[in-house]
Amino acid sequence: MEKLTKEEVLHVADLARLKLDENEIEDYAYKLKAIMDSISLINSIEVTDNEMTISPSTAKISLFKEQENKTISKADALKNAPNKIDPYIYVGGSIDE
Amino acid sequence: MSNYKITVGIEVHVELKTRNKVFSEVLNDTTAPVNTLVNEIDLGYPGTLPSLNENVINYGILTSLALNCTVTKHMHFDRKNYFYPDLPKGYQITQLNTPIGTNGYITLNSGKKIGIRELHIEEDTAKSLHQDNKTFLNFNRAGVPLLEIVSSPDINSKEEAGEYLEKLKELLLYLEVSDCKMEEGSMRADVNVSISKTNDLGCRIELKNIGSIHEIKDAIEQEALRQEQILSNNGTLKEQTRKYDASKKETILLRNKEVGNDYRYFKEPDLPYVDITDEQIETIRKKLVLLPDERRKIYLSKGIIPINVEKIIKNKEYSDYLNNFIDTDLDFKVASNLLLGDISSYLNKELISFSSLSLDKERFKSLVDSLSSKKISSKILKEILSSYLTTTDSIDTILKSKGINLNDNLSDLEAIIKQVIIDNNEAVLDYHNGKEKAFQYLIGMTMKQTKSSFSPQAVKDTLKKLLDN
Repeated sequence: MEKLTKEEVLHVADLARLKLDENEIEDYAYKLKAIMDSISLINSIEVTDNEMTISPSTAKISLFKEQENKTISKADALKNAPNKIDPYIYVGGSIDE
Repeated sequence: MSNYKITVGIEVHVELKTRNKVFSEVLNDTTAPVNTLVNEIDLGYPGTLPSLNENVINYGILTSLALNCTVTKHMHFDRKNYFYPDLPKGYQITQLNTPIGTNGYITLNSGKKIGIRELHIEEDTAKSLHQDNKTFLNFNRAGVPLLEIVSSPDINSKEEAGEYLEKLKELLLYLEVSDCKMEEGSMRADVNVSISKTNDLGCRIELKNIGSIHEIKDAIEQEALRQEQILSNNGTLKEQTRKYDASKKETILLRNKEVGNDYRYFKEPDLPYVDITDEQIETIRKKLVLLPDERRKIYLSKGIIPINVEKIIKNKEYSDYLNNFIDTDLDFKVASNLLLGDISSYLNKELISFSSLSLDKERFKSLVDSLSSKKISSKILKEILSSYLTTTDSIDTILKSKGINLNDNLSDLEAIIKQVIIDNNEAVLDYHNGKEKAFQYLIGMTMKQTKSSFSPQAVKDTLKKLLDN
């Protein structure tokens, strides 16, 4: 069974900011390859004469006019955050610019 | 840079001044108390769906037209995927394939055109505050509408870069689509710098997070020098993102460039296609104001001196006010002097804005006409201006109420001037020897003797007549 290289798996993990152990790297090497094969199958379909579809829905876009302020309260905004110091939500670690 | 040619391309992000955010009906105000202008869409909650602010599209069309761009009539949005705390849904909604405007330009004073490759709409992220090994997030900025304006790599010096940015900022301010405050982040510029000895572009280095146009010019100079030193020593350059340390006058490595397709763009399925009609475009085109460069031409043709033209352009309130008189016989030179001189001093002293004066157009013209025809002198103007600006009284009424007489008895004036001529023999001789300054001196002496009660024009004419006879 084909699989991705370790470097390819680590690259994808890095994009998702995930730390993987050796077993997980091995596991995802196969799983990600299967996903990529499925995508390749879709990509192989000849669609040059078709108009691009961006959504399964054919609904027209509905634009909103400016007037409302549908904000939620600060308390509700912070409610589900695991880390907060009112009025902020925070995350740990130093982040690059 | 003796042998190397600098090439610069600039990506500018400006926050739009729409009332609401771009994809949620929450107020757009980044100065509000922290995390008080947010909703589930701005926070990226699963299951929420964006909708699109009509006014953001209108601002995009208006800006596209002002930048000479072609407006894309059938467009969609795209997802730019990346993980970062300021973007909790894991992607930014932007326009990769169908930017709202393409192929425009800005013309520099030299006549050189700097291409605008594209202009696209996207959402801003939350504002991060890094402190004590933590990142604090304010989501008021999440979903604020941005226009990203991408130039072609047509800029070949720090001076051109500065002028391009000044002109772009000026134009956006005149369109009133953004307040363009670089110091507050409502206008941000990323600058791509490369150097080459040939016509091929060199290795592109991106400079980010630079705080002012002045610093951008310095950063371009320092980065080009750094690249030249490396290449001169047979080194190689790698694509990087760097920042500028203004105190050390050097660029500093932030990171090596990620590969472009790491963002794994795909079409935004939650927002259907946006179709813009010719009618919409023409309706917005009619709203295009007279743009700064067009105003410059008009003001110069009407006799305003170049330095004052620039001062008027910098003050949009003055410029808009003056434009009310374009089709009249107003003396624009005198009017600009009046606005930039005595009226500005009055506003500064009273700590009020020009708009709060609600200066009636007829009254303004009457005042300018009186100065232009020299019915009143600049000295008398100073005495009456405050009353003129704060009442509806005519100039003559104010003069009368202040006991200022504009004497029109020319025989009185002639008698005074004859005495001035007798008392200032040396200046009279200088005048006859062609010294223009002597004439000005004699005017001054006469005005002093008359306590400015005669119009400056009458003094000038009578003095000349008596001196030349």
